[in-house]
Amino acid sequence: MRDKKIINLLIAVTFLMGLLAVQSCQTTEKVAVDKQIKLSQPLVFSTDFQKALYKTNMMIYGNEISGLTLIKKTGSDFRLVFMSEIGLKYFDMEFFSKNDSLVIHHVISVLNKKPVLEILSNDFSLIFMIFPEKTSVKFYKDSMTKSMIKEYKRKGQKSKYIFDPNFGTVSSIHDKKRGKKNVIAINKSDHPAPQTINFNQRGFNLRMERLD
Amino acid sequence: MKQLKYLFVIVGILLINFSFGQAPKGFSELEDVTFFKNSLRKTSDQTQSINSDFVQEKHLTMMEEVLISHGRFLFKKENKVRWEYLDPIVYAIIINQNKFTINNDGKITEFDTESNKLFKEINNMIVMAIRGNFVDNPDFSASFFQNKGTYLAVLKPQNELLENILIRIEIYFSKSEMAVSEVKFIEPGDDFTKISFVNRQTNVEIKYEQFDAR
Repeated sequence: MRDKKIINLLIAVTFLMGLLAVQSCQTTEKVAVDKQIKLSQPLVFSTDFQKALYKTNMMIYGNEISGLTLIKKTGSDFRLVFMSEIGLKYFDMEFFSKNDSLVIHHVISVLNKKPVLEILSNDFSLIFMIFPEKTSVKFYKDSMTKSMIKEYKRKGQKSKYIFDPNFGTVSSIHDKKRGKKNVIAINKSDHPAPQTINFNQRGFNLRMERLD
Repeated sequence: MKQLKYLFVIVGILLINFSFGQAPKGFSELEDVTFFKNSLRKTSDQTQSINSDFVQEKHLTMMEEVLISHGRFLFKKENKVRWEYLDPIVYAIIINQNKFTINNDGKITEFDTESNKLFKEINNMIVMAIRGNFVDNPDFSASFFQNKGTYLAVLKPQNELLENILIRIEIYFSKSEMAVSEVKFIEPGDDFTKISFVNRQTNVEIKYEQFDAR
């Protein structure tokens, strides 16, 4: 009888310790949305950004392409041209914030494949922060790093922006779309555009380094 | 019958106007193409090496400004080429013994042109344009024009891969030297790249090490 009581006590204590252990692993806490009014909003490109030129290296399905990427902002829309060093365009895309639409002005035949275009349009939409209308937003706080996380959730996709709450500078984007994970690392500077942007997912890697 | 005659005259006039309308502004159609091609071949035969600086301008319709790069072009017979950007990026394409090597700011990559057809086509086209040795190249149809000091060859790709990338290439030759002074790559949508050669020297000594990517 006494042994049974001890065993039950041990089980209860173990269960309690397990609960405490799980609690201590959770470093994020949900922050009520209304508190965010006082925080900076995350931005990859500052509101006063106009244009930037990046040295670019792309690795896609084992093939390496290098060149220059020009990004230009008009209003709240973005246009992006990736070209070879000699100036021949690989692709020319325009992202519109209204209606979350994309116009492909030009793409060379070898990149004009549906999986490739999906990767490019998704990843660049993430850094331009263009989302469909029915996107829900949540804020989290990482108590370990003191970073804020802004999560954008839409059908089949969840994107988390890790950012500094004081300045709004985004350090990384963690995206999950239909089970596929994607991480975009961003190195910001005083310039309205990031210094470096690295896209990394299976089969696709893009590194951009600002020149101007 | 008279009406038919008048019709032929009108069509003839229209055709003449149309053909003259094809010549770029400031140029007229070159009549003695054979002389031009022979002169080009002669110059090419006599050219053992080329050392030239270049200025590249990228004109994009989406931008008011022009993107400018500077670089250097080296050529040594038979087929050694070094096409090198010095500013704003450090990047070089080296062709040596049919091998394509890229030195991308210190990172060296050799390309197998047989497995990367697009790369091979683009680089062959670039080398052909800057050397000006497009004569009898089946991948391009050519039209020829001239003005007082310049010959102009307008090349249109006949190759499906290149047609997707370029509408035409314009190669300008100085009449005094029969050498390429400028190349223009015109893309779909009217964006274009203009490369101007400056400080050009021919038949100067160029060391073989210059065509070593490492």
